[in-house]
Amino acid sequence: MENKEHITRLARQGLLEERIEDLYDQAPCGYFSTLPDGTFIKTNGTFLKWLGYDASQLLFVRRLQDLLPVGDSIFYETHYHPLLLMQGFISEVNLSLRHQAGKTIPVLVNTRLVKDADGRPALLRTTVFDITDRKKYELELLRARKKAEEGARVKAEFLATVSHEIRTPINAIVGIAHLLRDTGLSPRQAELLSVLEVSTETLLRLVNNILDFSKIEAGRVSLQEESTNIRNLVGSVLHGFGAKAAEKGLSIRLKIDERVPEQVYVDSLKLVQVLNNLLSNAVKFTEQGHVAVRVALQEQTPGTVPVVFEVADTGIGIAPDKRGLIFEEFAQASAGIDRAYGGTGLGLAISQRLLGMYGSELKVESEPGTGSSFSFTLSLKISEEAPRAARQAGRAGAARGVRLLLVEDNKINVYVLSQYLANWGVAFDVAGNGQEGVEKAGREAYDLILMDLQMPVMDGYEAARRIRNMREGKRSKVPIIALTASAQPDYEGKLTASGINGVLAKPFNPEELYRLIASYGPVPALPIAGQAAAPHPQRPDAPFDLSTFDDLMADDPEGMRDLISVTVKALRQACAELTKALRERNRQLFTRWVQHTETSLELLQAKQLYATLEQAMALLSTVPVDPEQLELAEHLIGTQFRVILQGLAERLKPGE
Amino acid sequence: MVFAHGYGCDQNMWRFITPAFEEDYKVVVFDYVGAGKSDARAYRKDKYGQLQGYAADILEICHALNLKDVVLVGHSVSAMIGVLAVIAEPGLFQRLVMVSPSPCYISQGDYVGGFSERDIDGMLQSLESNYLGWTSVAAPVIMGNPDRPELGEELASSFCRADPEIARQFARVTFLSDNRADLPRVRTRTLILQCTHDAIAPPAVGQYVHQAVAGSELALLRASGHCPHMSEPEQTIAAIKGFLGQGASGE
Repeated sequence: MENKEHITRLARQGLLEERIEDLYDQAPCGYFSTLPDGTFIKTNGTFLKWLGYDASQLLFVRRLQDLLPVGDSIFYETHYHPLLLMQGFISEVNLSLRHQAGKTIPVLVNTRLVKDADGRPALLRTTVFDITDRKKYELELLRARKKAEEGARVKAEFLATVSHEIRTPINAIVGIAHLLRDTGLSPRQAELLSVLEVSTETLLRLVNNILDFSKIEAGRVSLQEESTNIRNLVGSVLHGFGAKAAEKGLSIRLKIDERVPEQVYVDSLKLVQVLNNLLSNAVKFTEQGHVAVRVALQEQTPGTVPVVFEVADTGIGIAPDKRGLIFEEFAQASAGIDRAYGGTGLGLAISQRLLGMYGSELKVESEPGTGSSFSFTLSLKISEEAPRAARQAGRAGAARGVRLLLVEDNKINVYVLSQYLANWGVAFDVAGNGQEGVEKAGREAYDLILMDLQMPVMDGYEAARRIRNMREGKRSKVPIIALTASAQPDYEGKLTASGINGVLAKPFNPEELYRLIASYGPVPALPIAGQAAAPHPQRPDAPFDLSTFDDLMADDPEGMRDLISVTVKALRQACAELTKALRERNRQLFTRWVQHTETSLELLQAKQLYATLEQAMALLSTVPVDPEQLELAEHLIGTQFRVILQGLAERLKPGE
Repeated sequence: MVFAHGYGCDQNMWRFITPAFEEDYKVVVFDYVGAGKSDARAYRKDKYGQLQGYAADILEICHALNLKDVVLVGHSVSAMIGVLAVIAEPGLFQRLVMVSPSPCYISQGDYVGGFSERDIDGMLQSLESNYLGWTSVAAPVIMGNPDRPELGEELASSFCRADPEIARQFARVTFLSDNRADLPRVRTRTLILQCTHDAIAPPAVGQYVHQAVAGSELALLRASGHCPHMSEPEQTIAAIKGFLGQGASGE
């Protein structure tokens, strides 16, 4: 009652209205109205106070644009004003307003377009917030985000690079362990060597997994579908586990639905990777019973076939609460798993991501103590292509008798590979460059071609293209596997385009190489326990520095002398070519020769020389090139090559 | 008629204009790569590092749609992109309409572009920081528009959807280009629409373009700002119709 009287009294005195005016005038935000062209016609006190103007300095004499710095006035004309006219309002736009004294104030504006009775734009009403503090926070946040993103990127790159770098020396260790095996070991030494072999292979698998994983995470992996005989593919994956299963007394069962078509388009490398992972888990976690693989067909739609792949075992199983966990990277169902079974905990995470690229996912059913069943469905396109000659994982068999063409210019690689091939009874020819490769492939019928990608005269891509274009039908369809040292992100598309069927990463794992070659073998061999594994190769693709080199010499002086001779020859040529490229400032040529020499330097562990070469490479990409620096690089490279060549020549002296 | 939008906008900005021509012409509007609903993956730094790249796209659109006797209407930077397009294939175009054109934003010697080099540098810097605010803050503007429901949510969100990275590049190319030497090479009949008050392309610049393009016509619109087709659509339509109609009777 009293309040009402009070209010009435205030209203009578006109104080209520004045208060509304006050609210407008002294609000904690700025208000102003302009004509459509931006001319101020009304403003509140707060706005004037912020900007240090009198009303008379703004109203009817200045436009909003006049208070904007150049950048913002362009923003106003190109963004703010058009959008305002189009939608009738604009919200939360960042602008800077010039204070009368010159400094700028960051503001947030909201504007409404008010129309007259005819629907024409009459005036613009704007609310302004001072966001000086907020702007500071925004900038800080932005800086923090940039830093975090940069950090994550560097970390991912580091991971990929380090994994790649680690792979090379591990390969050497694996190779040397193989070599040691044939040096007349005592039982105790043989036992120690077994431990060494298992450990290095585990390490290699871990590093490969990390590399795979980081590549998938970085989006550097894509699907490469090709016409594939899916029955053969599954069969050969299974075949690879025959020995291990037999060792544990497990039986492996395979059931393929008859309706599954012969040829489908599938990324066979990725499918093999997933199946390999599931089978290796199944065999690992099963102590007795069997592992069963089933390939079944779901309802068929025109053109595509949904194929279900299932790997079931009678192993230890997975507790219900751990079933989600196993798909996470570096996670295993229990900490004890690591100790009892080994493994990286990355396999299923990688499989899940690979299947994700197919829009599929891995499903698991399991009963602890009874077994597990993993399954996934791929929607595959039926291929009309006639079944080609066996592909990468096509047929299981032995390497003996395979007719192979090795196209590789790097003498060291040729040497190392030849040792393996001869050992395995592979009948092979060598071509020193792409052109020779094409000629040989036209003359002889090979079961398989191993093709280096970077070669003089003609590179591997071009050679593969020419082989594919050959008139002789059968010879043009020979499977071609590329040998490549670096996983460049763009090379996969180039491979497909030139008709290359698969990739073997250098430095290669001898068993992998054996399995690859064997899958093109003429006679599919039955899996017999203990005999399916690759024989121990005589010669590893081992890098050796001059100290390990002495030990090796003692075992096989002849072979080593050969190796040194080729190395010396290769290094001499490399030194001359690199010096020439440096003098001509030909970065491309220089880079090519560095890549060409990489293996030899790795073998010798010539880190210093390698670092010098890398510095020179960087030097050549600067503009302009500093001639003094260049001269210095040339000198360093020459000296370091000489030192290594001298060291090698010492070993070649008779009687040493 | 092909309508090419300017920097900072997309094809929606022609909405007040195009209905007036739909009866007599086949009207084609499009978004440059990076603007509106375009596929930003098609952006290539080398191609769009100069206005020629955008001009090539206009030609491609004309060929893909099998257009003939094209009337090309370009706003702001698109006026210059249009110049490059009609020079490249004069036979394809019947007319060129430049809305608020400027061949060069930076004043040099006798030429008054309206901005100094420092202004443009400052503007590019300011845009960098502004774009952040603009895209992040303005993108969620998803409100109804009671006045013009057809311009509601879809417009607000698509208009702001310019890819910030591309927009930055586009700004650079737009404001640092100098196409003065191209103007005399235009052989297509040209109309220049100039606003009386335009901070970005001042009347003196319109005059310059008029004198440099042989046989061109200059129409001065009583309008403030850089976008007469939005602020004064009737005047703009009338000027363009006058130009096109007059041509028809003259031929």
